Amino acid sequence: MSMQLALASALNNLRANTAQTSVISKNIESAGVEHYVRKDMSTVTRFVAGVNLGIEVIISRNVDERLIRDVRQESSVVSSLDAKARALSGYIEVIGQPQDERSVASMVSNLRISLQTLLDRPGEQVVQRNAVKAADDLAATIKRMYAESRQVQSDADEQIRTKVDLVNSNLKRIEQLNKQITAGKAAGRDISDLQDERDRLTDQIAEQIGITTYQRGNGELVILARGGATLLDSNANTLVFTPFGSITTSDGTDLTLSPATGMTSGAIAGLMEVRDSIMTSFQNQLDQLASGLIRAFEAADGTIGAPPADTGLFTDAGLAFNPANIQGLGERIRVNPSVRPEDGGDLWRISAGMHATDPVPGGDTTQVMAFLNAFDTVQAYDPASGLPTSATLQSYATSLVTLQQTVRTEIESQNDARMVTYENLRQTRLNRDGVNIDDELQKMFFIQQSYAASATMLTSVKELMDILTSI
Amino acid sequence: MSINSAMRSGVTGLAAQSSRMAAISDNISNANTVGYKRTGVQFSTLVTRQSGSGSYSAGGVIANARMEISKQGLIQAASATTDLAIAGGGFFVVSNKPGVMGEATFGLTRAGSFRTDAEGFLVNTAGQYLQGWPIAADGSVGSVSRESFADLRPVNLAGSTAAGQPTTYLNFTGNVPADSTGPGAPTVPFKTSVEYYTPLGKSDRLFLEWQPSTTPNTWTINITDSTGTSFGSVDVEFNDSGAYAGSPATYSNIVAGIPGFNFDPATGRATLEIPNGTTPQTITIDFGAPNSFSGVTQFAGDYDPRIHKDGAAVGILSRVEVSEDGILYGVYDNGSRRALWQIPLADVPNPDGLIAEDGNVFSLSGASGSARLVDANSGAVGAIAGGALEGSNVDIATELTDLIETQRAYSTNAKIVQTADEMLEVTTQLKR
Repeated sequence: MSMQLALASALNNLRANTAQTSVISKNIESAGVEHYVRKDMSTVTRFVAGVNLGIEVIISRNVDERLIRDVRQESSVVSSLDAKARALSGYIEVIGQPQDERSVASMVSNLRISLQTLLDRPGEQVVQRNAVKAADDLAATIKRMYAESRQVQSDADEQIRTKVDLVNSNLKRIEQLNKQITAGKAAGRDISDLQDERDRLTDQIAEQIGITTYQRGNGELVILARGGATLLDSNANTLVFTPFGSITTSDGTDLTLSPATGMTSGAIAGLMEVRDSIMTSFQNQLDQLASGLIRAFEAADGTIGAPPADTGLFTDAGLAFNPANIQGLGERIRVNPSVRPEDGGDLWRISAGMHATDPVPGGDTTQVMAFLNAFDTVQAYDPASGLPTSATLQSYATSLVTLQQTVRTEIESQNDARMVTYENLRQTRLNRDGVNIDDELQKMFFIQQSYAASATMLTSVKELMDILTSI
Repeated sequence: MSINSAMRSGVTGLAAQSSRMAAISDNISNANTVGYKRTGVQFSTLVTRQSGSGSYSAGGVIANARMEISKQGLIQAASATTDLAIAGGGFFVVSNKPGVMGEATFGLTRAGSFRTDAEGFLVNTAGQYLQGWPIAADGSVGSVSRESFADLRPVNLAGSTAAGQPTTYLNFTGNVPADSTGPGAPTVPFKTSVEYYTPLGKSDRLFLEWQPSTTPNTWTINITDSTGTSFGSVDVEFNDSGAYAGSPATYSNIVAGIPGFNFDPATGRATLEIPNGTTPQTITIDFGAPNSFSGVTQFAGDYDPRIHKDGAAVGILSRVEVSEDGILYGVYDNGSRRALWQIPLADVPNPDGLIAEDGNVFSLSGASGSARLVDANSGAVGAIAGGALEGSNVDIATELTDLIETQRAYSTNAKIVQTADEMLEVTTQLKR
């Protein structure tokens, strides 16, 4: 019986070696493929009731869940910052630096310069035209910034929708994979490729929305948003997105209610912040600037009588300033039609006041002087905008541009800093889980030797049997 | 005359060796038959009464064939989990038809290469049906006769293809963030849903809301169903210092939302009765006993809940496993395992006295004694090894050696006959 045992175990070893070869070839084939985790083989002796039944090859997929968790957490933060930086870059291009020709700060000083020129020649039409044009440009710039911020918001909203769709389709796919993995694990099949795929999809979700995950004993993966809302527990709990509104899970948990218990990181959270917080505060600042301009020129206009106030050089869509209606002022600011020939107005009102009935006599610069003084008047602004609460027009406009630029640069420098951490972690993960071809070839060498030894074993036993039968 | 008796003796020798030759040929041809037991041939003398001391009358030899049933064959690895081998004594009980005692002929075998047939029965290569005791839902086989085969049933997997398990227990572990409590605590609770399975295998959701309090290290846990109806709530205060820092200190202020909600402050377990059937489904949620780290903790960190649960959705039988003590488990594709059958082993006082039948089956005889059904891996019987088969206990080298021996013995016996014949011929030629 011992010779049969020798044959059986040699055969068993050949089988084990073939299995190992296939694993190694798969590893080598997938070397360099991101998200492919190296498959390791370990051989164990199989004992049944104290009888050695030869060796068994166990394929294991060995990952460091802690490391993966850190990578995902960092990738959420980086994607969030990256999404914000990208969304802001278009807007920042439009507003320019404070000293740029196109910036709103330069526009304010242009208006001031043209009014100063008007001081010398108040009756000259070319100079009047220049001053009105400067005012027009200033209003248009504020409107353009406002429009751009609206554009950024709707772009962000569109991107959120795409990303929510991606998260949902990945959740659905992982729900399927979970079932296949549980079933495969129960049936004792190799599930390592399914796990690779599941990790890849989970990584993608982590880029969009900050998540934590854990595995149950049967191999299924549970995914929670960082605030605790369940995204996948046996069944996918998909996200429901209301355009320009909230994101809830399909079981009714609102992810946008509170930053602490909702979404904290990920591209979706970043875009939500751009849409709902950064852009709204920028718009608020533009509203304040617009309200400052309207108020300043209404106050400086000598042709406006006692209250109720009437329209100044700048108007709220043709109406006088209304303190109850500041929101959206940046979008509605217009130069008074009565000074614009295009609207049937007269240029000379820039020197005489908006409600003057006749041009001022030559050389009267009282009104122009008053307009110029408006630039040096310190006005009060809403503290909620995050800008100085009292400032002159020029300094308010400058700090607006500076602050909005700073928001962007801060996000970008944070992004750069976190990117380094993320890249380090990602590299560590690649080094740990990836395939090292040298190692694989070295293993292959051992397998080759073992295979040859087993084959020799078979021949020897055969020769022994030959001797026996030829007696 | 002694020469005649010598010739007779030579003939009995020829007969005996040919019996042995037959046995060897059977052994060699069944060398690879699963569960085959080799036949050994031993010889014993035949002695005739001697008429006197002056003459000797040869008696001859008689062959005794004996099956070496109790000799263990080699256990070899096999691919299927329903390939069963017995390591040690004992026999599988099998029947020639899928029926109970009286309908089918029962026998014993060690050939355990079983496969499921079209009707779900486990049948070995010789067409014999494996017998066992069904395990009831409570996990026991009930009272069964161990002295007869009367309670055995053919093992069938057809009725066990789908199974769901309702959820009865949830264990909430993980962390709630310590720094969220105290002044400035969020007004919106941390909310996590968990799926549970109803007795019909449907999945439904429970919500666990953790509302941080403005009092440091204090939380209100609110448990609601998917429509937002509260089952009940409880306040939990966590230890902020000492050896148990981070673990729950006390549970208080238990409010039952709907009847059937109970909370045991000593164990940290909530019991819910979910009215989803005539008998409500009872689920225990374990948050961890006070001053223990078996459940939820509160440290500065993230909200990181982990909920472990029992129960499973309806699953399809994906494979079976047999444990060493003979319990056949169904493994379902939802990851659950259920004990389905117990496969007892038959123990007989004298296994070598069993009578061999076709298909590696042995039947009881007077010499073997009566069978007793014993749980595998206990008493005199061995363990069942799943994914393994018992090979024959034939050793080719021994058989070949025996063959050479037999051949030599046969020709020597023939030589006796031939020599005796020649001697008789000499005798007949004394007269010309």
